[in-house]
Formats: sequence, C-alpha cells, structure tokens
Amino acid sequence: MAIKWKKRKKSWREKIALLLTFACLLTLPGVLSFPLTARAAQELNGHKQIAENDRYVLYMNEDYLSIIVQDKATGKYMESAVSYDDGKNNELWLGQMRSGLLLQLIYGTNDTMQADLINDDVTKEITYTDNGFSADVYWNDYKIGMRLEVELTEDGVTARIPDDSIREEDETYYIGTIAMYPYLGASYLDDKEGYMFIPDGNGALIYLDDKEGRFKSGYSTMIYGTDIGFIDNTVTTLFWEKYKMVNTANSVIAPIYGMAYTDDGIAYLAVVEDGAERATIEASPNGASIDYNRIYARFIERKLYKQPTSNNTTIGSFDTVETDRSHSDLQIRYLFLSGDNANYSGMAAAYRNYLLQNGDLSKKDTSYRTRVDFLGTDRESWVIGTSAVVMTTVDDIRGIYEDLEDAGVTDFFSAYKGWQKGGIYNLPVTSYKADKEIGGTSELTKLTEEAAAKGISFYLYQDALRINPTENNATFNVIKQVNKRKYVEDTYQDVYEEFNFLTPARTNALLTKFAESAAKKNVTNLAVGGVSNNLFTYIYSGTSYSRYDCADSYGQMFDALDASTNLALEVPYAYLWKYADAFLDMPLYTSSYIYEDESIPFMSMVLKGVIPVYSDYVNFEANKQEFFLKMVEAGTYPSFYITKESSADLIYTNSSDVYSSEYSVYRDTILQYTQELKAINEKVEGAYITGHEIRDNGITVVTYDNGVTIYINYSTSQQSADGHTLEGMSYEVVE
Amino acid sequence: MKKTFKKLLFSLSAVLLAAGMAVTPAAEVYADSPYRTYTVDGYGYVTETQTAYLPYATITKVGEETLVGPTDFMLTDDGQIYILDSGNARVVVSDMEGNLIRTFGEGTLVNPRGLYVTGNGICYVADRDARSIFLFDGEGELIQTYGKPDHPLYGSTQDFLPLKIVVNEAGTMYIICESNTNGIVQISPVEGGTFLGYFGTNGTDPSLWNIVWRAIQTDAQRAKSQANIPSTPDNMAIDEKGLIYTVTRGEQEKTLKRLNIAGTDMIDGAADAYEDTPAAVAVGNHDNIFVASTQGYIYEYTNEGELLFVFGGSDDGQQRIGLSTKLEAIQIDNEDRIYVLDSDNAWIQIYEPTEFTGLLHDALYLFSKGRYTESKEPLTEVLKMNNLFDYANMAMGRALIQEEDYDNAIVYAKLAKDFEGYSDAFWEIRNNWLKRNLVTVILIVAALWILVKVVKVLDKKKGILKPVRAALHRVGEVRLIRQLRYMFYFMRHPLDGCYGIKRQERVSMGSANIMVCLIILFYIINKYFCGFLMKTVREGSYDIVSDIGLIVIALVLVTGCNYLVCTINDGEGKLKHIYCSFVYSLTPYLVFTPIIFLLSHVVTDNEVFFIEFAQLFMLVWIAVLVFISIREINNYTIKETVKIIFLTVFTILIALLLAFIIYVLWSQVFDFIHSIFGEVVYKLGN
Repeated sequence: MAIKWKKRKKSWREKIALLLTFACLLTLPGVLSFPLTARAAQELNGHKQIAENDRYVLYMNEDYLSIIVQDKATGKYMESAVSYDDGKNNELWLGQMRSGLLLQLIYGTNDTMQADLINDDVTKEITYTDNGFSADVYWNDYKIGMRLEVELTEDGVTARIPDDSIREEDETYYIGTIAMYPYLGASYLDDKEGYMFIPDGNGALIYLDDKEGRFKSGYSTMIYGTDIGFIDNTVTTLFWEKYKMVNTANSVIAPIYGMAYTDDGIAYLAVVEDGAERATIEASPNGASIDYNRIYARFIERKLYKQPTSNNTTIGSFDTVETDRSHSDLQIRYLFLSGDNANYSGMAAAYRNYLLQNGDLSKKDTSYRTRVDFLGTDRESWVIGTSAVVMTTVDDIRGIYEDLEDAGVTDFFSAYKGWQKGGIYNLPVTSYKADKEIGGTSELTKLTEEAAAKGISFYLYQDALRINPTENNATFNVIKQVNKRKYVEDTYQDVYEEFNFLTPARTNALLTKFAESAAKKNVTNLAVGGVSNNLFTYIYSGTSYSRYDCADSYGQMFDALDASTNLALEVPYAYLWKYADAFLDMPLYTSSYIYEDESIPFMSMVLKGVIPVYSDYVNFEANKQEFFLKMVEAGTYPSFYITKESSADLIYTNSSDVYSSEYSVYRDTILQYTQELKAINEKVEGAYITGHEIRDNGITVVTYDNGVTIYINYSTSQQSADGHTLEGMSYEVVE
Repeated sequence: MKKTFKKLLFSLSAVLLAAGMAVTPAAEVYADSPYRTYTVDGYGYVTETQTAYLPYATITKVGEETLVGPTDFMLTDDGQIYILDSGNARVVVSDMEGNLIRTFGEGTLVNPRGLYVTGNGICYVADRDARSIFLFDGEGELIQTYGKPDHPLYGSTQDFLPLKIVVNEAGTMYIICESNTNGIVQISPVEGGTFLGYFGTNGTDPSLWNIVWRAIQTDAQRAKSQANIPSTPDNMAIDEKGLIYTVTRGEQEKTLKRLNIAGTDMIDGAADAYEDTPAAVAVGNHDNIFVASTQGYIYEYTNEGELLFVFGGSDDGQQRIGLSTKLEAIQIDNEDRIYVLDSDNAWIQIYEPTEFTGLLHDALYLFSKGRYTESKEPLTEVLKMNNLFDYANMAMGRALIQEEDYDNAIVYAKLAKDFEGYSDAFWEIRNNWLKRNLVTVILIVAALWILVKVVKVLDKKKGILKPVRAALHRVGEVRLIRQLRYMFYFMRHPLDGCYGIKRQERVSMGSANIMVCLIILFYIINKYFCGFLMKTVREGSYDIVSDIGLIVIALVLVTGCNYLVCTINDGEGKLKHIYCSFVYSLTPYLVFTPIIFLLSHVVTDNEVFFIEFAQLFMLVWIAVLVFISIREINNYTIKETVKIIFLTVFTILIALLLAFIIYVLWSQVFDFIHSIFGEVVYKLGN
C-alpha cells in the first residue's frame, strides 16, 4: 500500500521537475535580457508588488495577507503561501498553508481549533505604508482581532503584531497561539535543495529531501526551554519507577530558525525579536501530516493546564485555561541571504552581525583558557543531619595551580563550586561566607587575589535559582506553578531529595546582596547558574507572572550586576548573552531527533571570537577523542571538573553523579588539551568563523576570516581533503 | 536514488545526497545519547555511569523493501541480516549496508514469529499459524517442514504454536510454543523430527503465602484466581557452547536464565537487576548477556548475571534516536555492536560501544580468563573514567588479592560492596597483622596479667584499692544505679527477678526507660557502625527516626496488648510491672550487642558463625526471659502463658489492622476536605 502511494508520488515529481526545467529554459532568456526592475510584471503567483528597495521586492496578496520576498539580483523568491497544491490537502490544511496569520483558538477545553484568513469570516482593513502594509484583521465569528504590520527592510522583512492591537471580545473563544507567515519558504517534498535550520543544541539541519513518510511529526520546542510553570511531574515515566532514563532534550538557547534553498541561492534566518520568551519553534519535514517542509515560530498567548483539586491528581483535577493572556508585542525579523551567503554559515554570520549591531552582544576578551572547575564540599547523611565531604580545599587549589604552573601552563578559567558555607547544595547563597572546611572566607579571598595576580580567571559559582528546603526555610519566596501548587524539583538523589525555585525578585535581592558583600573583599568574578537558563510562568502571593516578567527581572538583575562584576553564565539564553564574559557548558551535540540530518556548531559559529565559550565537562564524555575534535571544530575551550580527593568519596552525596574527577587522573589530560587547543586557538584569536562544511568522507572544514582553515577528520580511516591528508580521528590547521 | 541504509547522525551533505552514492560504513558516531546509562552497585542501588553505547545507525528499509511488523532477525557470521518480515509473511535478507540480497518464504509462511539461521546457512522459521517449523536453504528454497510431534509425551491435546526457535550444532531444535507451559519443546531432526522432551521448564511460585492463601480459598475462588501454572519463556538464545538463555515475563527475579544441557539454571536468580517485561536475549562476544525489554531498555549482564549497564528507553513521541517503541529481538555483532529490532517502528537500530565500554570489555575478558595482572591495565583506565563503577572496582579488588596487595584490594572491595573479596582481603590483612604483632600482643597480655596479679596481692596485703572499692560501692548504692544493676541479676535469676519487680519494687519506670534508651542507642550504633561485613544497611544511609520509632512502637504494642490480654485473663500484673519485666528481659541484648559489635570489626566470612551463634543465643535467652516474665508477673501456669502469648500476638495484629483502617479512612476524609478546599480556593481565585 505504502509502496504504491510512493510510486505515484515519484511520477508526479518527475513531471513537475520536467515542467519546471522547461519553464526555466523558456524564461531564462527573458530574465537575462531585461533588468528585473524594468519588467512590467508586478504580479507574482497572484501577489502584487507593494514595496521594493535596493535588494528586495515585496509582493502581497490581499485575500490571504500572504507575501513573497524576491531577491532582485537573482530573481529568486520565497513565498509564504504555498502555490503548489499536491491535491491531497483538505480545506484546513490549505488554509494553514496559505494564510498570513494562523491562530489556534481555545474553546472550552479544546485548544486545537484553527482560525485562519481563508476558511473563516474575516474583516480586513489594509493600509499601505512606504515599505509594506498594515492590516487590521477581525474574525467575526470569534470576535477576535489584531493588527499585522509587515515592512520591507534593508536586509529582509519584518512581521509584527503589536500587543495592544490584540482583542478578544468573546468570552467563549480565546487565542491559544498565533503564527505569522507559518509557511514562508515552505517547499514540497524534494522540490528544493537545501535545509531547515533548527536551534537544537548547538544547531541542526533538516534536509529538504524526500523523507518518504518516515517521520510522523517534527520539531516543536519552546524557545528558552520548557516552562516549568506548566510541567506535570507525575507524568514522567521513570525506569524502575525511580530513575530518570531519558535525558531532557536541549533547550533552545537563541530565538532563531532558518530556511535555505541552496540551489536557488536564497535563504533566510528568522529572528524572533519580540515574544520569543513565550513562543515555540515548529519545524516539520515532509511526511509529517502533509508533504511540505515548513518551519515557523508560534507565539503562545494562553495555555490550558490541569488544576488539581485533591492530592490525587489523576482523579481530582480538571482542565482549565489561563485567566489572562500573556502580554508582549510579537515580532519576527527575516534576515534574507543570497548567493554564497545562502547557507548556515551565512546565517551564523548574519546573526552575529545582527547581535553586535543591536548591542545584544559585545566583544569580550576571548583569549584561550582551559576551564578547570573545582568542587569544594558536599554533604552526606549522618546519624543526625549531614556531615561534610571535603573534596577540594583552597589549599588544594593553590597546590594544583602551582603544579600546573610548574608544567608550564597558566591560562586557566576556574569556577569554584561548593565553596559556600554548608556545601554546594546549601542554597541559596546569601552572603560571601566560605565553608570553614575548605579554609574559610579569608583564605578564599586570598586565593582570589593570588589567582588574579597570576592571570587566572577565578570565579565563584552559585546556583541562584534553587533553594534547598532541607537546609533553609522555603515557605516564602518560592514560586508556585500556574495551578497554584508549589513547584518541586526532584533530584533523584538521596541526601537532598528536592529543591524549590526562588522567585526572580528574591533571586535578585539575594544575588545583589551577595555581590555587594563579595565586592567588599574585592571578589567580583561571579559564575551563575540556574537563572541563566530557566524561564517560567509562576504565581507568587496570588499574582501571576509570565515568562516575559521573569525575563525582565533577570535581565534587569544582570544589567545591574554587569556594572560591578564579571559574569560567567551557565548556558545563558540569548537575551543574557550581552552580560556574559564567559559562556559555560555550551552543548556540542544535538538532542538526536531522528529527523535531524546534520549536527552543526551554529551557536559556536555565532559566538566564536566574540565571547569565550567553554564546553561541557570532558570528564563525563564516553568518547573522549571525538569530543576533543568537536571542540576543535566549534572553537570551544575545554572544561574539567576537578577534585583533589577521589570522586569515590562523593558516592553518598547529591553529587554522586560526579563519578570521575580526581586531579591526579586528569592532570596529564589537562596539560595535553591545553597545549594542543591553545596552539590552535591562538591562530584564530579574535577571528570569526566564516565557513563550515561537512564533506562526505568524514572531513569537516572550518574557515576563519583571518584565512586560517581547520580540517577535522572524524572517520577512523585516513582521508584527504584539498590536498591535505589526515589520519583517522585527527585534525590539521592550515594558515 | 538508493538511500536505504541511512546514517542518521552522520549523513551526507545535501549536494552529495542528490548525486546518490553508497554510504561509507565508517565508524563516525556523532552524537550525544538521548538516554542515560546506569549500573548497579553491590547493594543493588542504581548509579549513573558514562554512556556505554551510542546510537550508530538505523536500518529503516532493505533496498526498496519496506518492513511491516517484523518480529525477529538474526545476524550471520558472513555479514548478512535475516529479517523476519512477519507482516508480509516472508524473510528478507540484507547485507550490513542495508542492500537487499533476497527475500523468500512468500506463499509458504502464514504468520511467522521466530527465526534462526545456522552456521551453514539453513534458515529455520517458526510459524505460529501454520503450526510448523520451515527450513530453507541458503538460496531460500524450502527443504524441510516439521509439524506437531506425535509423541505421546508431547500430549495429544497440546496444540503446536511455535513462536521462537534456536538450533544447536547437532541440529536439535529448541522451540518456544504459545500456551505450552510444559517448557521448551526439544525436537531432534532424526527420522523427520523426533520429540526429545521438554526443556527448561519454569517453576511455579510455591511461597508460603500462596499455599496458605489457596488453602483458605473456596473452590470457586480458586478457579477464578490465576492458575498456578508456570509461565512460558518469551524468548531465548543459544551460545557457542550450546547453552540456552531464556527470558520470561513475570518470573520475579528469575526472568533471565542460562540453562545447561541438563536444563539447570546456572544463573539461578543471581541477576541482581531484573526486567519485568523482557522481550529478547542475546549472547555477546565475552559471554556477556544482553536483554532487551519491550519498553526499549537494553541490559548488559556479565555471564554470572551481574548487571553492567542498562540504557535506552521508550520514546514518548519525541522521535529521538536511540529510544524505542516496542522491541522484539536483539543481536550482537563481532564488533560488540548491539542490533535491536523495533516492530512498531519497523526498523533495526544499531548501537556502538563507546571507548569506555571497549575498555571494560577488554578488562572483563582478561578477568574472566584469570589473567588478573593483565586485566589491571584496562581496569585502571575504566576506573579513571568512572571511579564508582562497581564491577570494575570488584574486579580490581580481586586482581589485587591475586597479587597479594591486600591493603589496596580491601579499598576496592569495600567500594564495590564485594563482601567476598573484602572478607578474603581482610582475612589476609588480619593474618599478617597477627603474624607481625603476635609477640607484642602476648607480651602485653602477659604484662597486664602480671599487673593485675600484683595489684591483687598488694590489695590483699595493704588494701590499696580500698578507696576505689568504697567509691564504687557508694555509686552502686545510688538508687537508680542499683535499679539498673538489677538487670544483671534479673538476667541470671528470672524467677527471683520477677519477684523483685513485682513485690519488692527493685526497679522503677525511670530505670526501665533508661534501659530502653540504651537499647535504642546500642541498636543504632550496631546498625550503622558495625563491621562492613555485618552491615545490613547501605553505607551512607541513615534513618534514625524510623529506627527509634520502630523500637518504641514495638515496645508499646507488646506491652499494651499483653496488658490488655492479661487483665481479662485473670493476670495479676500491673502495667508498670509488665513493662519493666519486658524491658529487663531485653538485658541480654545490652550485654551481647557490644560483644557482637566488637567482633563484627574483626571477623571475616569464615568466622561469621561466631556472631550468628551469639545472636541466636541472645535471642533464645531473651525469649526465655520474656516467657518467664509473663508467667511470673501474672502468676500463670505454663499452658496459660502459651495461650496468653498467642492471644497477645493476635491482639497486636488486630491493633495494627485497626490502625491501618483508621489511617485509610482518615486519609480519605483529609483528601475530601482538601478537595473541597482546593475547589473553593480555585473558585475564589477566579
């Protein structure tokens, strides 16, 4: 059955391909002989031209509010309304594929009701502006209205819905989600050559080839991580009812996605400028419901949630909808790229420029450093309460630094974890007070000074988000989920079984207070985790706060801290990048979704040469050699999690997942990695990555704007590229 | 464009894909795993470890052939994959790159469920609905069919519904049949199929509880309840030596068995981490055993059934590589790669061992061959990468024992909770210590003895110890101390002792309570700080509150219930007397525990007998004291006492039941109130 269906599809495609080739051949002389601007044809696939600038022409269809963006230089274009219908789509799908606005409404407890501009009774008022148009749209049946503003810019197009234009005038219908131009750049099966870029992990591509119906669904992930305000912990399936077996997928750390037609030489990178905090990225390869490849951002306005009424959530709960919708303007900027830039390398460069120009990123000291983090103390259970497990004291660190210095290495970055009184999980940290087991506050201050004198970046780490209810009073200042239940995070460990989350206001107060007390001792290097990569909807003392509020609070907090301190942030989300003096724990892999065809170091390409990026801990990688090559490829600096004592001591603590960390085991690896990676990174100091290419023989080629090229051979056998021969699992730097 | 064997993670660039070329089977693994990997420690606790296997590739189609609901497959030594495409009732043969070699069995097979390929290329297919075993030669031609055995022992009413099959070198077939609970059907190829008998029958569960339960059930209830018949194995594998491995669902701790030719289970429940719903089993290159569960978990055991790794997981619709929906079969290739067949997704997923696992396998191989010194090198590497990997710690400890480096061995053995290794190493260490220090010890003992003698003599002559004795006497005459000292008298003279409690007020509530505190203290110290070999709780875990609670509740229950029963049975005892006599009956515990505690630090497994004997002796003594106390305090006859003891036990059970019922009822009430409150708050909130 399936085979027959596929065969018919193929013959269709062949016909189309033939027709297209013919059409191209016929029109080619025409295109060549007339300059584009001179052509009288101001219509394209039922769209009329409404704006143009030096590089692009914008077309628009008044019925669908759909647009076409055409590159003047090449004549190639991307359309938001799919013009080719394979005849297998029903009205709803066609509405989705062509409408400029796509809504999901919440009606009762049904949140999948579609509203678009084609199948529904809609009143539109279109006003043309200099560079585009503005359309007031009103769904008469649902009494829902909003204004869509589209503008052609120098580098592409922006689409925007101002928050104050959104109206919901009927109590029965609520807006669940809104998408603008969901099918911009969508393509049918393998009609186009190219890929969709999704920000999964460091970055991934989904090719626009024929997937032969293998995938039932696509990528659908919230920008800036899952909203724990809505998470229902009881539904997680656990191995042996106790252990978390499946790793959480990587969070989306930057609000971007892209579509590239590599054969046509046209591509765009979409940046969700406003509303990213509460939006998802949806990318579906062909075969997932319909045979089109499409990628878009979907803004969430309201969401259904389960309100439990008894302790037993399975019986006593009902579905209900958020009382208020979230408030933010919604804006997407499509940065168009053409020619040689119409690929992911071009997207990365475009995004970097965009961030630098808007001040969302600024150049920091990116000189090479090996990250050697230390674990001070953790606690294990004892007859009464807990007792300290001391892993690395201040003196130990001093000794390790001296030892490494003797071996000729001084370029270090260190985040000291578990230095605070009561150990690593005595959270939150309220003041600059070191545990006496590691040597006490004055010793720590002294070490900080010594490290600074040696040129070592020595940071004090803290998780500013979590509070440990066993050690501290967590009755107040902790967040509740939308269902008004206190949020509890399970650690699946034995000493401290759960944590709560502090409200952003409380985090701000405590972190600021801490920074002040530390600044008095001239300790100004802070490594911060928890708050750098979490955003949530929450309720505190009866008031609801959205993810926008949460992001605002954290943004303001870091803005203030940035003035007086140096900040190293743990996997920071893009809105915090400008505050980061170091980016910690950059993922080098994707989440291994089956529909992903390629893993690319996109985020690294954006950030290389701008801020120093450190990898995940090398300790816990099972394939060390491959991980090393990954770091060479992405230009990230290596990270080690080091303890003086054997990690076996941690077995009965909450840090029992640190199963390998002893300094004596890692000393040689640290020296070797530093030597090799320093040599490479000094050649590309401050340079940007301009090109990245994955070849079929297992070789990856990375080019920098200072002319350096790095070849990496991931295959186990000898391979050659551009006249360079590489042994299996090796790399070569060419200047 | 032939794009059959898709390297999902390291696929080719778009341009080259379009050109269409064969995929290189190079070994570039290129991803993080979406699952975690766990191992178990000596206490059976699960701990996380490095990723052991990474997803490597997936076979979704063979040539242009799509699979429908495949249920079994097999790798051959010459690099072919035989896939039983059950939905299409055929066998699909592929090479390792996913290219189609041939298909066969169309028209012959009806509902095939199991497949086995012998070394000489003969393919056996177990067809459930055709009720037959089909044999195909290397070209896919049908060469033989075996139907239901007509042997009387097989049972004439017993249907023949073959599901899985393995074949040994002699050509003897082992067949798992649906709804045949007698075991694995064994058929020899002689004379067109000779039934040899049943093999590897699973046992039933003859637990005491089941026996009691069935005894009190009515016939009707018994008929309704699940029949107590053994379960049929779900899948099996055969290794080079002809040992059969079976997995059975719901067999408690014996889901995995390794059966020798006589059908004896050589693992015998030693698999310390078992799977409830195993789907398939395979044997690896180092005699390690792999089990796949239907939910997508993959287990690797050593040949003794010790869990090395468990990883994988079920895909909840996220579509991440390495997770599965419904696993049916598992195979291992020569390079230790794991192949698993997912019937829902109709694909074969391949996992590749990581550097870490490679090292561990090397070490295991050397270790199992007894080459301990050689095994130390890879073991050291493994432990560098994971300090807490129990199996490696255990092997390291054993290797060091072989090398007579006991001081280090004991550290590893303790980390690994390897009690046997710990005991051996400790024995040697103790022995060495004794050897070195025997003279010193004897000298010290002798010196002490002389000292005591001298003091005694001096005391006799000059009374130098008089003030000490006087002081001791003064302390001993303090009332509370005297009451406490009474316990030693009570312990030796229970009859008089009870008289003292009952008539002479020789003890008080205060002294009894102090004793309870001491008992609790001794209990806790002994439980958490006794010698490693005698420890019954996991290192590093403390639960003081429930320890104290348990002792107090037990004491209150026993005293209270006994008092209640005695009052209505003409007992003379007052509550205070009963309480005090019970507490004083526990004196042997206070006397013996310190001895046991000290002993536990110096004994090895060889001398554990001493401790066990001491414990038994102590318990018997306590029991006798309790019995006498009840009798004496209440002035009962022996017969009455026995009756009272039974009644007390019964009362305790009733009391517990009552407490349970009250707890359940109250929790319902609380839940109800909570619900109303929750709804009111919600309504008010809106």
